[in-house]
Order: sequence, then structure tokens, then C-alpha cells
Amino acid sequence: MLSIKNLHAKVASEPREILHGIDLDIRPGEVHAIMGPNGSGKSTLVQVLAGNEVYEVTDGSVAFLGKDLLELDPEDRACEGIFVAFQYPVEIPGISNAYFLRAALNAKRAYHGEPELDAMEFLTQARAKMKELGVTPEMLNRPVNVGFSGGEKKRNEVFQMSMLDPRLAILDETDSGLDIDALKTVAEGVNALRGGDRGILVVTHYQRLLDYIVPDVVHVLVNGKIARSGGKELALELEERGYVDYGINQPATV
Amino acid sequence: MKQATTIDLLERRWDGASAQRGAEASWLCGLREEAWAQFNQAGIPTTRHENWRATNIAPVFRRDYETAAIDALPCGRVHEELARLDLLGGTTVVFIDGRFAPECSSSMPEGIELLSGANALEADGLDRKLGQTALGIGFPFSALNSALFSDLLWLRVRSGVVATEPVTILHVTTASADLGRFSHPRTLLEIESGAKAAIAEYYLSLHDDDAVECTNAVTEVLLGRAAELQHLRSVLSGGFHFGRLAVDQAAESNYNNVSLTLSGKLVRNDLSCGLYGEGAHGELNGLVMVRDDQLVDNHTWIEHAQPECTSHELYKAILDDQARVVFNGRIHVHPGAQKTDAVQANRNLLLSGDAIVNTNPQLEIYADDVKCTHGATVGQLDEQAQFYLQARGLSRDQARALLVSAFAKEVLDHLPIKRLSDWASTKVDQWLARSASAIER
Repeated sequence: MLSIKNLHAKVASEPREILHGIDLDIRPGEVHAIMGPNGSGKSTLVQVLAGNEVYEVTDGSVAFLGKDLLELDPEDRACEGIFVAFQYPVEIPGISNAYFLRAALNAKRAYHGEPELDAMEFLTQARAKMKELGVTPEMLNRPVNVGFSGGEKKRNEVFQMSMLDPRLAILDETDSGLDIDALKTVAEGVNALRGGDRGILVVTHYQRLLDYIVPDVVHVLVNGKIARSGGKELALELEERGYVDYGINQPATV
Repeated sequence: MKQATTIDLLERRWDGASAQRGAEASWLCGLREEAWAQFNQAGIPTTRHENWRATNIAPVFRRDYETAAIDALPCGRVHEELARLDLLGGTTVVFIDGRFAPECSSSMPEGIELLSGANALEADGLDRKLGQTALGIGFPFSALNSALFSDLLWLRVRSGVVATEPVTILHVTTASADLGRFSHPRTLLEIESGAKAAIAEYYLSLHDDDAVECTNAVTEVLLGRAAELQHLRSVLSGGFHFGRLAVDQAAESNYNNVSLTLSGKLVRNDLSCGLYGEGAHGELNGLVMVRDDQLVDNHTWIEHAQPECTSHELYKAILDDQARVVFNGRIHVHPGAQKTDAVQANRNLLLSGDAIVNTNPQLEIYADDVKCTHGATVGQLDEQAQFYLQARGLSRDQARALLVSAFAKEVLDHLPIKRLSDWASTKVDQWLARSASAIER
């Protein structure tokens, strides 16, 4: 469903290339993990897939469900079914979570020619999902991410993800800043979305998250290239040895 | 010289009111004499005065204003205007050209007393209450108002009364065909001990843009022990506006002001909140939305005079075209005001490269056990936030419109009376709709 070929990218305002030719294929229903040390290009890859204009693709292609992803605006990528749970969700004072999420849902519905959800239909759906994910109902009325703890922000991302029902969910360092309990809840939320033909891409520095979201395929990203791919046992190897085999002296455990 | 015209007009007004002054209580007459002397001594402030550095008010005094009284009070016209502004309904007090208009006003609910005319000016104890900003060292227009105001609106919420519905106060100015008026509305809001109320004050004009009025308003607010007031103040007229607000808070009282300025050619507000009793909480919040060549200047003062007081101040502005905004916010923590907790923020959003913001947050602290924070920003829309919304499926235009609206409405979150915040929110949306192309840019 996602096919990345020879992807090169950099920060638009800087000359230095960060991604030096990434190749990656995710088929429907698969869970992939990309692991890598700091500065390997993990976040750049996520931002490029989301369509952040701060980054510029200099070569290569990305196809998503048969469409040229790089030709699409960020909002069209979202409406086509890509959801990115960000590492640093943005705080937006003055917009309630409920308003924001309903606007997002309705934008997606309009894109697919479906009628808008009214406030009641939205609330019914939202309440059910919140209960499932252990999100407190007050969160709906609070401004988007404002004053949320690290754990609440990540939980809110997963809540949004489950409401928007994406074809491909991309999680960027969703484990960072979480204690073990928060990590478990977030992982449960993600696991609930597993299955069917939904693809999931988990991007993380640390192996820990993969104890709870067990991947089908693990890729090691080093210096802007996939250095190695393998099964879930690759994550365990990294847990033991860190990134030292890839010339980088960083552990992969917390 | 044109400037002489406006001053002449004010002088004629002063001379013409000598009979009224003669009939007033001697303390009031004395106060007016002193205020007039102060105004004359201070003169019209120029940009050489520190407090007026960024605001040139010379255009106000280069105009002619209507002096003849109107024949009949245009209540029908007032109500049309209220309908247009979505302000109909609820308890309403109307002042026209600085005088109470009972036939346009509704009766007060139980526990709230409305005094005006001789009933107000001759009431016992007024001399102790009208004092605070009657004189105008540093506030020449407060002095001018004290010298020239013709009627007083005195709203008194009786001790222990909890008024659930907001009271609307409308200060309306009229005009002749092409001349606006120079009026001096005077308001005294007294919330007695333990009482709770919500009051919305609006300044509007009954004429088209050809006439330009100058409203020189003074509102004094007295909060008794543990009294609470939600106070919305909004300038809705298109001319010149000088607004002075002086709040005097007793212990444990709670005052919450939202100042909303969406129109006006030149608006200068001087707002001060005095925390004069222990454990009082004061809020001055403001939203300014300006376009064309509008200039809005908010000067605020928060006086932490006693221990254990808290204050909150959030001033935001959105500017389009060549508009200008000035914010000057001073928090003054007096010696002995320990355990003060003061938060101040000024945020400005520019929709145009030609708009200008002057911001000057100031802290002056003379106590050592205090928590004070302040900060100011001037900028454009947060690109990261815009991207976040787009990544959730909103179009770029939708995302930008939502963010600008959210930027403005954060201030309205501090207006807990739903009827008032809904009204304000609609006005904000109407303003934004006119700037849609600048927002999408």
C-alpha cells in the first residue's frame, strides 16, 4: 500500500541531504517498525510522508494506494487515509479538541463525498472511542493539547487516529516521554487498530515500545538509509547490542 | 487654526454649564473646577508625552463637533441599531449623548439600583465614591470628563444580591448630518459586599461614517468585600474613543474585565485595576481587531497593593492593512504585597506586512515573595500549527481561518457568561469574514 523508492530529502532551507535513498514497502495489514539512533533521519522521513513543506524531496518516489503521494497536499494525504501521530503534537489554544476533531472528520468525509457528521453523531462516536481508549471525557472540551502532559498528548493522538480510521497509521516516537503505564495504554490503542488491511508504521529509537506493539518487519535506519531489515527478532538484537554494529555508539534501550 | 475649534467648543461647553454647576453640591462643583483647571494645565497630550508616544491624537482636535442638543430621543432608531448589533433583549440601560434615556431603557431587576440625574448627583456618599478618577494627573481626559459630564449612570448591586442575567449598558451618541458629538459619558458601577453581577458596557453611534464622534468615557468600578463582577466593555462606534476604567477592589473580591475593540478610528483605553484588599483577584483581558488605518491603544495598570492578590492579563490583537496597535501594560507590586501572583501576556498577530504593533509590558516589583510573569509576541500564524491541522485533513485555508479565529477566541474563554461570549464570538467571526483573503494569503 505504501511504496517508497530511492527517497532523498533535505531541509528545504539547508543544502545537506538527510535521507540518502530510502526503499520501503508496506503491504496491507502489515506492521512495520523503523528503528534508528538520533539523527538517522527517522523524523525527517515521517515529516516527508506527512507533507511538511519544511522538507524538500530531491529524488525518488512514494506511492500510496496507487497514487503519487508526493504530489498531494498534506490535507489530501490525510483524506486519502494517512494518519501521522506526531512526536510533538502542537498546542492550539482557542480550539477545543471536539471542534478540531469534528472539523477533521468532516473534511475527510467531504473529500469522499460523504455527508457531514452533526454534533450529536460526532459526540456519540467520540464518547465510545474515548471510553475504549481510557481518555477522560473532559479532554473533548479542552483546547487542543494545551496544558496536556506528555502522556495525554500521545493518548490524544491515538484517540484522533482511532476516530479518523486511517488506512496507514504512522507513529513517530510515540513512546517518548511516556511512563510504562501510559505506554501500555497507548500501545493497546494502537493494537486495537491492527488488523484488516490497515498498515501501521512505528518509528522509534527504543525497542521498548515493540514489546507492546509487535511488528511484522523491523528496519534499521542509519545515516539516512535502511541499513538492515528483518523480523521482530531484529529489535531484540538492537535491544542487546544497541546501534554499535552500525557504527553508532547509542543504546536502543531506555 | 483648526485645533482651536475643538478646544473652543469644549470651553463654550464649560461656560454653558456654569448654571448646572451652580446648582450642584459644592463638593461636585469644586471637583469640576479643579478637574477643568487640571485639564487646561496639562493641555492636549502630544507624542512627546511618554504615555502618548505611539499615539498621535491631534486628529481628534482638528475636527468640529455638533453642540446642539437633539430634539427627540430616537428610541426607535436605538432599537434598530441594537437589533443590527444583536444586542436586543435582557435588562438594558440606555444613555444618549451622555444622558439617561428612561424611555429606551428597561426596569432593573430586584437588588440592582439605577440612579441618574439629580437622584445620582445628590445621593449621599457620592462624594466619597466618585473621587477616584475624577481628577486626572496623567489622565487629562478623565479630568475633562469630570469637568463636563452632564449625567451620571450609577448602577448599584445591593449587598449579597446575586444577579444571574447580565445588565446591558449602552452609551449611544447621535450626530447631525455630518457632525459627530464630543460626549463625556460617566458611569459608576458599585458591587456591594458579597454581591455578584455581570455587566456589559457598549459604546455605539447612531450615524454613518461621514460624521465622526469623540466619546470621552469614564467608568469607575467599586467592588465591596467578596463582591464579583464580570465586565465586558466594547467599543462599537467608528469614531474617536477615550476610555478610562478605574477599578477599586476590596478584600476577596473578584473582578473580570474583557475589553473588546473591533471598531473605532482611534481608540485609547486607560484601564486600571487596583487590588486594594487582601486576597482579591483581578483580570484585565482584551481583544483588539483592527484594519484600514485604525489605531487602538490600550494602556493598563494593575496595582498589587495588598498581600495574597492574584491578577491575570491577556491582551491580544489581530491587525490587517495599515492598522496600528499599542499595548502598554504595567504591573506594580507595592511594598508588602507578598504572595502576589501576577500573569501578563500580550500577543499580536499580523495579517499584513504594513500593520504596526508597539508593545511595552512592564513589571515594577517592590516586594520579595512574589510570582510575576510577563511576555509579548508579535508575529504571523504558527506554521507548525497550520501543518498539524492540514495533516488532519483540513485545507490550508480552513486551517488558517481556524487558527486566526482560535487566536482571537482564546480571549473570549475568559468571558464565562455564555450570552456575552456567544455575542462576542459572532462579532469576531464577522470581522474575520471581511479579512478572509488576508488570512488565506
